[in-house]
Amino acid sequence: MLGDAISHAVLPGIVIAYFIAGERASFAILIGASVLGMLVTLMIEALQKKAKLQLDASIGVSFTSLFAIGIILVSLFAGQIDIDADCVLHGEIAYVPLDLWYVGDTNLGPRAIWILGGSLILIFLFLWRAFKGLYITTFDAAFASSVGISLAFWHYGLMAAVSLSTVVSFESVGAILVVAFLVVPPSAAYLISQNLKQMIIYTLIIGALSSAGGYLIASQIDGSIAGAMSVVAGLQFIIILVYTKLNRGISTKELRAYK
Amino acid sequence: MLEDFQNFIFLKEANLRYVILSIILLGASSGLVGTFSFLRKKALVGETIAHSMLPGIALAFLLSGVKDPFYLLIGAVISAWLSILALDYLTNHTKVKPDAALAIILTVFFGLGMMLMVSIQHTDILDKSGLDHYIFGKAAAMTKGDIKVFGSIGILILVIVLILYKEFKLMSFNPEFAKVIGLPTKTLEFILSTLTILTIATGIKAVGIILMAALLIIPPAAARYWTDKLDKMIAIAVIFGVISGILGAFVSYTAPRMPTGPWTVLSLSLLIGLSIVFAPHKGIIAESKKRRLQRDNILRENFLKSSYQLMEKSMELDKFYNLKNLNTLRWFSHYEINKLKGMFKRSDEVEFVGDNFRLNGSGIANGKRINRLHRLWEIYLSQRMNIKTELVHKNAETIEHLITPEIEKQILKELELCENFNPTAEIHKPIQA
Repeated sequence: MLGDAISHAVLPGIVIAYFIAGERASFAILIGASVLGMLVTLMIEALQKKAKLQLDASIGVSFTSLFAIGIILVSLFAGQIDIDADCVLHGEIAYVPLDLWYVGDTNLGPRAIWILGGSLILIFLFLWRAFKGLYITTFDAAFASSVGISLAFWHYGLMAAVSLSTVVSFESVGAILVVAFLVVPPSAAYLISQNLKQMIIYTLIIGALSSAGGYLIASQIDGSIAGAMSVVAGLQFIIILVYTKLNRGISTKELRAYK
Repeated sequence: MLEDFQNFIFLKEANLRYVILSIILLGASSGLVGTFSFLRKKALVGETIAHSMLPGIALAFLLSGVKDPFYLLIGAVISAWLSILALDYLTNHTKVKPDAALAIILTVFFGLGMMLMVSIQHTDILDKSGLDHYIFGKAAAMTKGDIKVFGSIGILILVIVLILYKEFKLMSFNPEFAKVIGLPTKTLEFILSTLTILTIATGIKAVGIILMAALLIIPPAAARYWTDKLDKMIAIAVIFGVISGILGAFVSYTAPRMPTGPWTVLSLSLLIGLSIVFAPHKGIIAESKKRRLQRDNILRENFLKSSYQLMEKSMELDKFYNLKNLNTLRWFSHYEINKLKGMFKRSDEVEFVGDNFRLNGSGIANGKRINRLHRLWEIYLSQRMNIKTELVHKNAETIEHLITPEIEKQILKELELCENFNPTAEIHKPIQA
């Protein structure tokens, strides 16, 4: 649910960035949203450790407060900036082809592709370099800290990556459905994988299928694109769940290996 | 502004009366229900329930073709129930972790809802405007019909909680015990979930799907700082819910462009912020004061202990010593000495004359007591716990400040020593020996 919290909490950052930067300067928005993304993780931590509030309530208190501030800012600046509460929810993936990026007079194609592609590369590099550290702190935190690996460092590294991907996807799919992409594909993959690498690969496949399938459905019925994408992700989750429930026994291959 | 305020206070407009009454009822029922979900560590379930109502609302609208609050309520309750069943299944029958399950249900249901909402925008049902109030909330759009629904549900919740108060209390604090003594926990849980769903379903029109969770989570979380008793906690949560509702309604009344829901939530955030800082006993200020007093007391006791040891060595009680003499036993910083001088000015345990000091009657007694406790604990550790004598000193250094007379008696009994036994030296071996 931390992803849910971050995706709600970035709203005030985005609104303030819009207001200060004046136009739809994606870079300023990225910074504003990232700052808020980190702020909400720190806020949850502070509520939990300093104010001794239980974790679920800390999460609930932080993001609802920040989101409320965001909505208030939206209503305050309504008319002055080109953002309304609706587009926060829906995202504007349909307009991606219209929002082009020009350097001088050269058309470099849709800006969202550059930003999302760039952050994909960044996150990929992070995962590649940090795979071992994340792996060990995820699976055996006690062992990791006993051999001197900093849990806090990897925790905040991962949170930064989550913030980044939340923030960059926000514009396209909207505040709440970012979470669908963060949670549903990995959970579905989790049901059928035996190891981490397999899980990552399955996650990527399910995520890509959700995007493509969701877009197709939405364009057929003229509905919300982001909504359709999360529904497709949910359908895949259900199919995989049913599949695992039907194949609960030991597989033939495993049986043969055992013999 | 003043005129607005007067209008607000005396409820001069009928519409305003509806808005305030409904938001008060909402604040009260969510404080009531929220307390139980907070204590059962299910605060975020409210967030998932609220979001998963969207497809139900959209479908009810599509099927009935009218924006009747009653049909929409039924749709919302049904889809919320489905989401709870799915959540229950995912957490209990698959290896998906509880918080991932919450997020899956939330996003998939909400995604479906968004899809349907956009489809509704493309249909030609006339009544469709205003349906998106359910997402962000619009308390100003409350009608007389809504009040009736709010009121009856609020009363229903209150009555059920009053009847089943004892059972809910047990379920919140010790569910295993509740099960063992034969309470129908499944049924009780069903009732509690239904109450939560009803509260959320009525509330989303006023504050919106996204912020409804705040109304359930923040009031009990804030109330928790003020009390340890369940009945008081519920009362405080209800009061906080009501206050914030009134504040939210007031802001959006004076500035019509401002939405009610977010301002209600913001007032709640303010209330919890104040609670965290200022609440007696559990607030940050009270806690840090407690800690400071404790620290001062340890400093005082350490000083008395070392001074007493100094006197023990020279066997002269009624004599002034120089502070430098203490350095071999324990080093006190300049800052600490000044603090001690201030402290002892108020109590008459120690008398300072420049850099010299002398212990008085109560000071000697206290110094003796602390040394005795230190030594007793060392004996206890080495004799009863079989810990090496080299290791007992460090532990005794901290425990000596915490031993109460009752524990002291217990230790003496354990060690089979008489009441006024007084060890004259620490048993740990000095390092240089």
